[in-house]
Amino acid sequence: MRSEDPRDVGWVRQNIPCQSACPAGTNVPAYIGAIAAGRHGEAYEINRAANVLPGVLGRICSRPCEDACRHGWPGNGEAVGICNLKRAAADLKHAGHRITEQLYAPTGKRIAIVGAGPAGVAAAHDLSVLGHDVTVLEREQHFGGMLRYGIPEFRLPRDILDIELHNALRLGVDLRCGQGVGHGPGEIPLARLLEQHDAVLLAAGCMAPLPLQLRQAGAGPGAAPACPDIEHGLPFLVALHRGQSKSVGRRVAVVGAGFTALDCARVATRLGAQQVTIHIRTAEEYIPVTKEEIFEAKREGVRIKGLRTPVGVVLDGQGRLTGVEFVQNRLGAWRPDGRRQALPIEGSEFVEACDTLLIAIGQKTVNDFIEPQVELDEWQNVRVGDAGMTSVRGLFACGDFVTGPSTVVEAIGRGRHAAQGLDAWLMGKPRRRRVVRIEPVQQPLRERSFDFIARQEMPTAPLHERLGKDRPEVEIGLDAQQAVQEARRCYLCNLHYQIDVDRCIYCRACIEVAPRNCIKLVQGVDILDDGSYGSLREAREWNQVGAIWIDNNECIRCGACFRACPVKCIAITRNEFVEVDTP
Amino acid sequence: MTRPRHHVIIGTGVAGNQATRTLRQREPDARISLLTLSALPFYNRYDLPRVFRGVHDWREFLVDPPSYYEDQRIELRRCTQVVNVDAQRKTLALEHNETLSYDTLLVASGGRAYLPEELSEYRDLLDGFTSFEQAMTMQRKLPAGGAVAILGGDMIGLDLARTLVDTGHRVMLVAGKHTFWPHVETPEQRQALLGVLQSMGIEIIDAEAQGGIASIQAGARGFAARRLVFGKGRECTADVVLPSFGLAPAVEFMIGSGVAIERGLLVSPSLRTTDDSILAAGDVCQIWSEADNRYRFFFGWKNVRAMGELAARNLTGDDEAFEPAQDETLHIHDGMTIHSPFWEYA
Amino acid sequence: MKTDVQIEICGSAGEGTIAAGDILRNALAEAGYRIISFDAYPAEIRGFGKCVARLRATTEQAYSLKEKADVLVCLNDEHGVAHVGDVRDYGAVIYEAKSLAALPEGAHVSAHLRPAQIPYPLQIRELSERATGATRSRNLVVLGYLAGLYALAREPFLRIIEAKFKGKGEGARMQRSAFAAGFAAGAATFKLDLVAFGKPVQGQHSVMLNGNAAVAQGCLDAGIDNFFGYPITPATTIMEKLALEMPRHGKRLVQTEDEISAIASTIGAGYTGARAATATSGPGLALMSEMLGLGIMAEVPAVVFVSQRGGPSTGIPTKTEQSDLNMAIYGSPGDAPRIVIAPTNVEGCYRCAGKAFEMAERYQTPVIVLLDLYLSNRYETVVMPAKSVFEPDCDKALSKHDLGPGYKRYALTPDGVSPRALPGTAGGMHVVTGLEHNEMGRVNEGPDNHEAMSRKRHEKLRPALQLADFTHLKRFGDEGRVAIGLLAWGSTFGECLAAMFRARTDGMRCAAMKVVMLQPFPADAVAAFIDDCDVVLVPELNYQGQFAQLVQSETGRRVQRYNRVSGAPLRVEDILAQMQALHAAGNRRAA
Repeated sequence: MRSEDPRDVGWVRQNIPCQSACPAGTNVPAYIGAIAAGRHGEAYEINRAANVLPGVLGRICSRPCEDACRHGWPGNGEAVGICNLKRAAADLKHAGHRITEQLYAPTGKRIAIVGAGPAGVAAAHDLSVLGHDVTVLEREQHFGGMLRYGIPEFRLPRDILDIELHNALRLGVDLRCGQGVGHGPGEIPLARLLEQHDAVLLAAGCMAPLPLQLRQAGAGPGAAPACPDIEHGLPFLVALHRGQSKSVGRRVAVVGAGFTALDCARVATRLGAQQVTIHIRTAEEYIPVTKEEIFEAKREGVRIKGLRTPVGVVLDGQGRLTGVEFVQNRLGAWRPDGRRQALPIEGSEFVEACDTLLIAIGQKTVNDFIEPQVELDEWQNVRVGDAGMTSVRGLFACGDFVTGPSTVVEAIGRGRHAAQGLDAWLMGKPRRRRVVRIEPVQQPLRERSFDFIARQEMPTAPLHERLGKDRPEVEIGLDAQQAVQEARRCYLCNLHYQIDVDRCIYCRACIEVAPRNCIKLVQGVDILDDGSYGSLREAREWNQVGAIWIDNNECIRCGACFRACPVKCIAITRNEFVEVDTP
Repeated sequence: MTRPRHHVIIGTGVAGNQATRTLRQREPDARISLLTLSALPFYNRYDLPRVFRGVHDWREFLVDPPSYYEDQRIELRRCTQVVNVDAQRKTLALEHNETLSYDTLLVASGGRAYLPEELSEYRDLLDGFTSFEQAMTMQRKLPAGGAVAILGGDMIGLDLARTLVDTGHRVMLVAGKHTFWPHVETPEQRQALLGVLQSMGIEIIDAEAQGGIASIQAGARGFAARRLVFGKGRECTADVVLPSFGLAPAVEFMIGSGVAIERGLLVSPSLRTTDDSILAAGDVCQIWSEADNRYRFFFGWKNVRAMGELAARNLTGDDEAFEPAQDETLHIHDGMTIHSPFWEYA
Repeated sequence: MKTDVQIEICGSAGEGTIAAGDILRNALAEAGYRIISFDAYPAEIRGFGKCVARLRATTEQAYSLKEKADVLVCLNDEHGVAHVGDVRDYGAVIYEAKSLAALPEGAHVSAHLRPAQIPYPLQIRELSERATGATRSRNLVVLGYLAGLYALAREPFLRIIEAKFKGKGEGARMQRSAFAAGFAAGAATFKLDLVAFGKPVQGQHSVMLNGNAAVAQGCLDAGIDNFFGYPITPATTIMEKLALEMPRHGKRLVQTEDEISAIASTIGAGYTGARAATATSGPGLALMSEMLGLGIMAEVPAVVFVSQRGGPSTGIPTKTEQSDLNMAIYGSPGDAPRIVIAPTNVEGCYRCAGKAFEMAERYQTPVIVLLDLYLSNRYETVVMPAKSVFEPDCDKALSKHDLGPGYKRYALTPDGVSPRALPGTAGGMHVVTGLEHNEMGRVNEGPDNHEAMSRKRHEKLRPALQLADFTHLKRFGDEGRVAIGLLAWGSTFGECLAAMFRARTDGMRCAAMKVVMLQPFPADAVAAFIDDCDVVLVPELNYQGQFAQLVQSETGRRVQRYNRVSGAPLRVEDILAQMQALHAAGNRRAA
């Protein structure tokens, strides 16, 4: 059964926190359910419907789903290893697995996409499925963007990346590497692209490093002279991944608190540094990197020191770096993105010795190649409307190019969204929409004992192997048994347990076996403006009780109530979003 | 305000206990709740080596008898874990699903033994010595004359080593950058100090020279309980392996409260956090030091006790700054014994 | 090392609290400890009432439960909070570590622990779920935890669990699994409390019985032929146990339509020479009073077990009291003497039950055995004799000379007991009637006859006071003159004995006497005891001081009373306080 009722839509949004948190809208419970049944190929395809690079994201995603996971809520234990499972599906699908694509008829429309990073590739894939002729122009020699040039191989092996990118563009996308867009020699001007195509999508990413003003210690307020030991982190990694040989000194200081800074530090250890320190302005608690990343970095010997902002460098007589000067910080107010202000303390400067400094404090977009003039927003990025179109007709933009540096999964989500908007503009109306599919489920799909399975830890390469010559992938991946165990941990939040109030006999047998405070005696349930169910008004005495109600927020879908009910008045349905064609 | 204030103190260590005492003296009518993870009332951790001298009844370690808490109307809540602090509502969420309100909160949860990340996979093979239960467990495990391998060798571990040597056990110290923590010594001082340790009967293994610890294993049946394997191939065995790498502040439950945290809770010289109602004292806090121009820890029993006392006074109307109560230098006396202010408990 | 550990388990009705207590006491008895145990339960079967299972395990003989428990197990924290105060310093409190519902401040057990009590938070619900997939086995989890924590042998527990869940399929396996999970947790817990179990005494074959079970066993060992009963709390389990056992011995039991029919059938069976009994409580005894008169008048043996409960009228069926004494002794029209005995402990229940049949036959009279709810439901370990200690036939010998046309069923003999010919005995025909009758049994209204028969009916019972193998009363404590004497009967005596021993260790000269045979009353011995004491205190669980009245009227001495009708057994410390107050007052008078 299909529904567009706001109560059903509201239920799915509220009750499947992982899917709601995923910028790509991945149907997490569905793919985890498939893995639990050993159907890895199916799980892979479910992922691919929302995110065209599951094997890649299964390794490097920032995992907003896990932060939202119900199994990680207070009192429920640890979140499910959703990302590790995504990778497991990719790793364990059998060798003959065939990718499924459902192609629309050719439209005859031609689209150019600037940039073959995650946003551009996701958009290119979706647009080619929708029947358009897509050309992708990529400045670098290889496609992948941040995936190839920003993320080190020990986190994302290049063979996996290549296969998935290739599969995304196999439907006849014309990929032209080594082709820039702009006014420089060999570059195609944007205006010409606009003439030659029905629409152009800018997905050029955000990889220009933010500069950092550093003075030379003891030499007055001006900027320090250029020094071969001081580099920006992202260009350092890009050069390394282009194949250039890079080296670092014995003591490496990395400044910055994002994934790039972490990656620079871990690369530095592999390039032979003896002492690698990441200096952050606030403290470990407030930086956006996952706890697992920080832990592995520390295992590899990286240290993190907080509450300092770099203000200068110390150079020796030959102009080589001997140290970085920092000023001590206090912590200030909270910022809206969950981070904190760092307030420098006057007169608290100190120096830390080092031989190499890598600066990874963020990136900005480069959009000087755009003509005609487009509207920019307050951060000097291109402003786009709901459909992703800029102020220039037919010119669209998406991904980090619009938002500034974010995460890969956000870029993919925005790329898909832009493709939908672009397609709707080209074809005159949206061709797909999202509805709720509701299917009855006969039996609980899980056992209570599954809830006690400990979170399967990702096996990692032993320390002494990591820094050796081969520099293998650090995370090894869950094996088939671990994958099943971890998949069983998922509560399958797309299951909706509901008591039929008319048939309930108020025996309370369900409440007695409930493992949480999830079944309540209520006077009533509030109805919100959009028609969906709001909060429960609990009853204190029997004569106030209007119904026995399963609080779906607390419900962990263990099935105990279903099994205990003597009159079988509890129904289970699976409620999930599906995309259907608009007529 | 007619209702008496409710002071809540997290942690029954030296700081928490001293603060409780002082608070009760200064506010006879206030309500005081003292929360701890421990099942036992306050005892001094430094006292625990006495288990090797035949003291096995925990009642002999208590600093105050149980009746003290009843007489002083201190609500001692043991086996109580705080999982979150809502500084807006001034409530604490306890792990067992109870909510507690406070007027003032003193965080004195101290530090727990730090285990370097690269050794985390061997956690289950290591033995701690931070509680009575752990101390007795180790005492029961160690055979007479048995061998203890101390990894790191902070001053707490070395204090235990003194007793172990004195009671006829074999002690091996795997020395590294945490040896003598929290003291900071020069390389020459370090050599001299290691020499003194050796003359005390402690075997020294230089971790770095041996290529670091490659792995720790459970011994096969019939052999010693633990085997340490070093990077360059050397191996040694012990009955018990004790990690001794200094302390890491116990602050995870404070993260949701919004107060500033770096490694510990960041406090002003008067021990105030960035929330007016929340103070911190002891190993858990980093105090702003004008002299050093940074936030820093002040370790040591005397310092911690002074902080507890000060926090209580500042909670009840004063506004004084913390003055260190002990110096931090390590001395060698007569070339034969080590004097550390961290070994002075009076 | 001596063992003296009292464990209290509290929970909601329906949580298996009582079942847990049952398994625990049986397992500890199996292991060789002596047990005293008494549970408290609410009237509702499930829902909101509170159950408390209490037991005391010792290596030496104990007489009552202690004032303070050594270990408290809270299956339900809400109910547990009220009982935390029951635990002594350095004792253990085991409780659910985490509440499902959010708790307001101070609502968790951990908020109520005193600093000297040792907390053992345990994830009881989660352990049960992990082991069995359901929360129902929490009680087995905590039993396992106790066993693991105190290093008790597992085998007795597993045997009891096996027996209890035999034939329930998966049930036994799940309970063992839950027990094992609890045991592992307990064994891994570092023990900080000062409670310890020493090695139990080996070599004694004792069984765990409660008062009613002991009564039933006594009946069986005495060769009971018939039982007629009507269910009433708290006597019902006597009939239940006999209903199970008697058919195995080829005997018969009938549940009658009411108490009147029950006593009538019992007397009828007794008339035929069968050993017959019935069991009831106060309200039932009231219904039986007229029939009892018939039994007394017709001199027919019958045994009536009466387990007293809260009165008057329907009263409080689930609470204990000792307020049917007057009715047991006097209840029936006219001068209707009968033997009334009251055991003071479970072993006494066994002996009194068997002896009652002997006395009934020997003296050709109904015998009332008085218990109360506390004694009926109190479990104790009892050393059972290897074979029956009861005489199978106590009838007065019938000789050929007695029989014939002149057979005198109610012959006035020197000892008052007439030779009894059972129905069907040739030459033994006689008349039986509830009207006053002569020696032949024929109706006779004459004045001398009535005097003689009244005398006969009363005097024939007196020799019961001299029965050789029966303890009519017993004195404990200091010999000779004492300051304070305690005089008590029935279940109260256990607490009195414990109070007396406590007072002695505090330096008071005191003694305690239990009176088991209440009719005929051992007036001389009791008077002598009273004369030995400066003051005698009679604690009893009734408002009117029925036993104190009896003592005063039979001995002519005055006694002090201590009367409580709280529905719960008297507390040792309350009796002790009374003794101390009297002692102090006595000292003041002397000074």
